[in-house]
Amino acid sequence: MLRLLKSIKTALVILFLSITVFVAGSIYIPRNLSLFSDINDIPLFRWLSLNYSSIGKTFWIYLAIFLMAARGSEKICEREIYNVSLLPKQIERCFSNRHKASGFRE
Amino acid sequence: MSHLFILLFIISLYALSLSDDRKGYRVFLIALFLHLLYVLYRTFHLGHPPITDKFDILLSAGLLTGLYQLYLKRRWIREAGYLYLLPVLFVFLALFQERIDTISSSMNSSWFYLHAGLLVIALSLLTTGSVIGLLYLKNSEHTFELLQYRITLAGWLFFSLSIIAGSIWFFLAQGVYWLWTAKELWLTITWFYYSLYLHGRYVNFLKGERAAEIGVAGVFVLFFSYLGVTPILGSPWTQF
Repeated sequence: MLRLLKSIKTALVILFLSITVFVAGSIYIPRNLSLFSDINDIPLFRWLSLNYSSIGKTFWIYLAIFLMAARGSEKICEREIYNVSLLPKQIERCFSNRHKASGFRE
Repeated sequence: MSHLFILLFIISLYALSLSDDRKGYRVFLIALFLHLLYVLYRTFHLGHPPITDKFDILLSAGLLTGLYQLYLKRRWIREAGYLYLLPVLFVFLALFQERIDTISSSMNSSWFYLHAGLLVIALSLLTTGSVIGLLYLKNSEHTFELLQYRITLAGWLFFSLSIIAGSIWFFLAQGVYWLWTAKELWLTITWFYYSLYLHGRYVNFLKGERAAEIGVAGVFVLFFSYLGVTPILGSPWTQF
């Protein structure tokens, strides 16, 4: 799992999917102005819960949230590639000890 | 009307500079000088930096692409060729934009000027990178591909800073950092697109012609998000 998250190919796939989801959003918003009219007035998750019945037109926002979370996780885990650590040292040490114990090779 | 004639004259001079490399370069310098004078005129006329509407932003970005060429031609690219067309592209696109000489009170903020100024630099660098990619596809000279990557990286950094400055400005002006509109989504798509290209190129997942082609195609995403989203997708109108 960690190896998957660390892979730069995962980052590329996430970026590609994000582009697709945002393109879908840019088409859905102007075509459903009455639905999206108050999205900027109230917090996003509250707006999503109020408009749960229109999930057919708002699904891309859920996907975008998931992809952004995945991208954030991937960014934290790809520390080896960029040689930059975003994890607290204790957690990082825990990962590296576990790799040593399981013979994990990168 | 006089603005139209001045801009058409500048475009003609830029176009003439394509004819012969040595003479062309001199004509290019004259065109660039006139372009600079026009941007200075707009600055004095407006009373603030000419980056508050699409017309002026495109003209300023075009001027920057011209100025980069003075360096690129001396240091990297002997026969600039396509690069001379870049200011033409920007001035030509500016012709179709409304010239707006006033700004709203919310726009009169240093964060806005920072946002728009960084956007101008990003636009000029990203398009210059794309055209150098075209030169690579034509000549297969690997230096051009590396140059395209580096210039695009610089453009992407300015673009990122511009988005950050824009978010801060909008929060101070309207109380939110982000709006769910097609325009904002396409700006994010542009950022993702260049991230994809730069990540892929950095780890050599994208190499050679494929990398150059994806980098060149970025200019279409960039211009669609800047000029195409409002008329084509129906996003709310923006002045800048």
